[in-house]
Amino acid sequence: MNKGLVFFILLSVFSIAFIAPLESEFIKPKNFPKPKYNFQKNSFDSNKINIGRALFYDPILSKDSTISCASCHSNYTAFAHVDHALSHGIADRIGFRNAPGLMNLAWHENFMWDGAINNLEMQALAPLTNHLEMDENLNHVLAKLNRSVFYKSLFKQAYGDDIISTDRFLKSITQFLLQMVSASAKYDSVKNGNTIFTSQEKKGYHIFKKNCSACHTEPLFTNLKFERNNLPVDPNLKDMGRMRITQNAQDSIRFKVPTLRNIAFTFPYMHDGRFSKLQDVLHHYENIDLLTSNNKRIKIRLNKAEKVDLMAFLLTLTDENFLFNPALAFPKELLLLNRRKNE
Amino acid sequence: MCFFYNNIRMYFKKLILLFLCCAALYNKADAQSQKATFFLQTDFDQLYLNDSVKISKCAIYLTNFKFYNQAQLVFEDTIKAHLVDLLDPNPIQFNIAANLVYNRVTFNIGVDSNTNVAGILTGDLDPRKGMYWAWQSGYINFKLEGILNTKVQQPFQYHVGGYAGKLKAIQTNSFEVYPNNKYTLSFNFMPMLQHCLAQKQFEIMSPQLKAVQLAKLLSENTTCTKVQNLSNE
Repeated sequence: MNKGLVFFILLSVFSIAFIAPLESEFIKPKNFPKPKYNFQKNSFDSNKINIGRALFYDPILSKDSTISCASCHSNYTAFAHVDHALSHGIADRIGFRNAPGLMNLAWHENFMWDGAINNLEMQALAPLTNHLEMDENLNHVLAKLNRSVFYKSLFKQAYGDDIISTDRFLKSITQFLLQMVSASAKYDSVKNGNTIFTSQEKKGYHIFKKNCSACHTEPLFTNLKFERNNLPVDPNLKDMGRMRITQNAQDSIRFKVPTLRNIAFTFPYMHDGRFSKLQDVLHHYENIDLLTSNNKRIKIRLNKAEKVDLMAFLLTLTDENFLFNPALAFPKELLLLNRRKNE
Repeated sequence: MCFFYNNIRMYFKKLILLFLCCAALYNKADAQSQKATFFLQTDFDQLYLNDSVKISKCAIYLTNFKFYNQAQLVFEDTIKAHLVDLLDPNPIQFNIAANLVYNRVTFNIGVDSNTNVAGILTGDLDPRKGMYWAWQSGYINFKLEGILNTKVQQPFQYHVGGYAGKLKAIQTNSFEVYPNNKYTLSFNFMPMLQHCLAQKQFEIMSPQLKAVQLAKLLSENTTCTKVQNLSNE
C-alpha cells in the first residue's frame, strides 16, 4: 500500500481519537432506567461540556493550584484514585474517605459516601472548599477564572458573554460529569443480546443475583441507598457514615452502596479504602449476615469456587469504552495548546 | 414596490399603537398598585448599650412572602428569597394591585426543602453569598456571629439551617397586616443568644436539633408592628 495513504489513514484515526467529539445530548442506555438529573434545567451544549472538562482537569480550582478534580479521579481508572486508600489534598493533606469512581451520575440523587450532597450541580463545591482537599473558596475561584483570558473566551463561546458566574461554573462542570456514562461492558452486551456469558461468568452471575444484587442492584449495580456492611469502625477515622448527616442513630455506619461497574479498576475498596484487593472484599463477604435498609435479611455464604465464579462475573462489568474514552480524558488540545496561545 | 412600502407603514403604525396601549396599561397598573413595605430591625440595642456583646454578623433568609385575605391567597412574592443583612437592612417592598384586600402576611425564616435540593440557583440564593454549606448541601437560614465581652473575650458563631427530617429548621411566621400601611419586622435574637450563652454553647455550625431549637426561639420572638398609616399621606 502507498506509504502516504497509510500515513494519512493513521493521522485521521489519531486525530479522531485525539479530538473526539463530546456528546451534546444525553442518550439513555437501552438497559438503564430513566435518569434522575433534570436535564431541562441544564441542557447539553458541547461548548459547556468543554468548559467542564477543562475545569475538571485544571488545578486552578485548588488554593495553591496544585491539584485538580482529576488528581483523585483519574479517567483511566473509572475516575477513582487507584491505590490510594484516602483522598489527597493540597500540601500533602490526607482526607478521611476513599475517592470513589465516578460514573452514571445522572442516576444518583445524592453524592458522597454519606449522601452529604443533594444535587450533582452542588457536588464540586464540597472538594473545592474542603480544607483537606482543595481548600479554596468559591469567590476566589470565580475571581481567578474571571481573570483568565482562556476561560473568559471559553465562557463567551458557550454562554454568549464572558461572565463567569457561580451557576455557569457549576453547570459546566455538571455537564462534563454527566458525560461519564459507563454502559458498554460485556454485561451490557449480554443484556442487549449481542453476546453471551461464558459458563463461568454465567455461574458467577447467578451467585451475584443470589447474594449481592439486593444492594448492588442492576443495571447500575447500586441500589443508591445507604447500607451497613458490618465493617468495624476504623478507630482513627471514627467515620459513622450517613449518621453524620441525618444524626439519626438508625443511619449509624451506613454508607452509600458503590457501583460495581469497572470494579477491577477502582481499588482500593470500601469507604476508607481498607481493602486493596477484590479478593479481600469477597473474603469479607464470604460468611456474613446482613440486614438491608429495606429490612431484608441476607445470609451470604461463599465457598472458594463460588468466589472464583463471582470474580469472573465481576470482570464482565469492565467497560473499556468508558475507561479509555478520549472525550473524557485530559483535554490536551484545550488546556495545553489553546491556553498557551491565549495567555 | 409601493404596495410593499404601504404594508410596512401599516404594520409599523399598528406596532406603535400596540406599544402605546401597553405603555398606557402599564402606567395604569402602576398607578393602581400599592406598596406593602416592611422595615427590618434587630433588638440588640440593650446589648450594645452595656457593651457586653458585640455582634459582627447577623444575616437572615426571609422567603416565600404570601398575602392572604382570610384564608384566600391574594398575592405571592415572585422573588424566592431575600437575603437580609440585619446589621444594615434595606426595607422589603412588594408592589400589590391596589384593589387587592389582605389581612395577613406569612413568610419563612429560612429556605424551604424544595429550594435546598434544587441545585444551583442565582440571586440571593447564589452560594457565593456565603449562606450555603458546601461540605453538606443546604442553605444556612440565618447567621449570628460576635464576641461576648466577659473576663476573656468569647467569640460565638451560630449558623442555623437544616432542611430534612427532624433537622428541618425553617420557621413560618404569620402576622396581621392591612393595605396602605408600613410595618416593622423585628427580629429579637436576645432570647436565643441568652439561651446559648447560659448553656455555654458558643458554636453551632451544622444542621442539628439545637439549631432547630434556636430557629424556634427566633421565630417566637419575631414581631410585626405598624409604623405609619399611608392613607393619611
